[in-house]
Amino acid sequence: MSSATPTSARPFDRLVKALTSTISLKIVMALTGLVGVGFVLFHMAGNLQVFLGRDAYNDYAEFMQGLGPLKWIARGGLLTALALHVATAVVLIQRNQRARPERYAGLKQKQTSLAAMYMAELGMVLLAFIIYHIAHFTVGVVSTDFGGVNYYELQQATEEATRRDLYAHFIVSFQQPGIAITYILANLALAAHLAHGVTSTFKTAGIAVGRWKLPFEVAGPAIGVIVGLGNISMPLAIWAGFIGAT
Amino acid sequence: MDIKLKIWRQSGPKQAGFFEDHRVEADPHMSFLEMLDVLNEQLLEAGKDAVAFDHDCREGICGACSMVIDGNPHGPRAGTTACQLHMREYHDGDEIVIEPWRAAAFPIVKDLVVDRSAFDRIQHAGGYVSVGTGSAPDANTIPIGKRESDQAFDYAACIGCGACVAACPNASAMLFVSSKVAHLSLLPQGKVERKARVRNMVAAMDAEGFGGCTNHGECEAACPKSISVDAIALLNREYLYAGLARD
Repeated sequence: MSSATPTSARPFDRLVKALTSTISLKIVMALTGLVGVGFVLFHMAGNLQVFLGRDAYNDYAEFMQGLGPLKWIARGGLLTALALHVATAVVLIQRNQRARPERYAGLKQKQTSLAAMYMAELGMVLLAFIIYHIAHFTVGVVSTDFGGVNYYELQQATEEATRRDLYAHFIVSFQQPGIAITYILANLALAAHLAHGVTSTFKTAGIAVGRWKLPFEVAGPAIGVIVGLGNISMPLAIWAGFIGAT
Repeated sequence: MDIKLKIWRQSGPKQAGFFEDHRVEADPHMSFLEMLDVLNEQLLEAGKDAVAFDHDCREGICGACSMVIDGNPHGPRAGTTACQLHMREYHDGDEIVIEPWRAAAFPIVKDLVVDRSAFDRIQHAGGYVSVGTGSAPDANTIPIGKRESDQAFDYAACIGCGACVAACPNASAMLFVSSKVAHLSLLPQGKVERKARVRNMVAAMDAEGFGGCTNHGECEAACPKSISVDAIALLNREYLYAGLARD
C-alpha cells in the first residue's frame, strides 16, 4: 500500500490523478447524468404531444427531423454523455468492489434506499432499453412491421405532400402488450434511477447541504415520479383507447 | 444472562478466517467489551487463544474499539461506540454475531483487530494546520461565526474509528476524510491551506484503496459521533473549489 505523495509526482501524472480521482469521476457522473435528465424531460414533453392527436404529433416529429446538423450535434452530444456515464460508472463500481473484497456475514442497511442499492443494475436495464428503443423508433430495425405494414416508413398525406406518420408507428407499437410492458418496466427503472441519481448529483456538486438539502432530496424522487408517470401515461392511454382509437 | 457468541477468528492477515461459537455468562451491567473480557478469561483458563480486539479508553472517545455487532458497526445503539454498549441491551439466550471491519484498506491483523493506519496516512497528507498558531489564543481574539464554530466542532468530533468505512456498501472513507476537511476548512487557521489539503487528502484516500461515496448515508447512521453525511457534500464542494478557484 503506497502512501500518497502528490507533491513529488510529475505534473502530468498529477493531472491524470486529479482527473481520475473518485470525486472527479463522480463529477463526471453528475454532469453526464444531468445531460440525461435534461434529455429525458425534453423527450417526455415532446412525446406527450401524442395526446394532441396525429397532426400535432407529426408536426413536432417533422420539426425535430428537420433540424439537420443541429439534430446530429445533439445526438452526438447525448451519445457521448451516455458513453461517458457508463464508462465512468464501470470504473467507479470496480473501485468500490475492490474496496471490499471480503463480504460481511450480514451488514444491516439502515438509511439507504432500494434505488440507491441497485443503481448499477437499474443502469444496465436502462442501457439495454435505450439500445432497443433507438433500434425501434430511431433506426427502425425492430418492431416496425405489424399486420404486414411497415409503420416505420408509413406516410401521412398532407395538403402539399406526404410526410412520415410517426404517430401511427407510436400508437400501433404500444398496442402490442409486449412492447407496452417492456416500456412501462423500463420507465419504472428510469424513475428509480432518477430518484437517487438526481439527488446524488447535487450532493456531488456540494450544493445539497444545509437549507438546500431537503429541496434536493425531494427533487430526485419528484423528477423520477414526474418522468415515470408522464412516460407511462402514454402506453396506458393507448391501451385504454383514450388515444389512437380511430 | 446466558449469551451465545459467534465470533470471527483469524490467526493472521493471510490466514483464512471463520466463525467460532462460544457461550458467556454475562451480567446486564457489564459493558460489551467487559463481556468479551469474561470470554477471554474463559478461553485462557481453558488454555486457548484469547479473542483479539482493539480497545483503549473504554469511554467512547478514543476510537479504538471496532467491531461489527450483528451487522452494525459498534453495535445496535445509534451514536454509541462498542465500548459504551452495555449488556442490558440484550436478553438472556440472545445470540450475537461479531466480525471485524471489512475493507481492503483495513487489513485484518488478528481476529477482530484491523490495521487502520490508512487513516493516519490520509491525516498526514493534509489533516492539520501547518502555520505556527502559537499557544491557544485568548477567547474571541479571532472572530468566528457561531454557525461556523458549531459546524466545525461537529465535524471535529470524528474519532477516526472507521465505522463509516465499515458501514459503507463501497467501503468508502469519505465521511472520515470529509469530517477532517470540513472541520479545518471552516476555521480561519485552517482556511489558508484548504486547497492543498483537500487535494492531498483525497489523493491519499484514493491511493489507500477506499471506495467512493454513492450517497447511501449508511456512514451517518453508523457514526458513533453522529457526524452528518452533509460533510461529504462539503468535501465535494471543497474539491471543486480547489480545482476551479484561482489563487
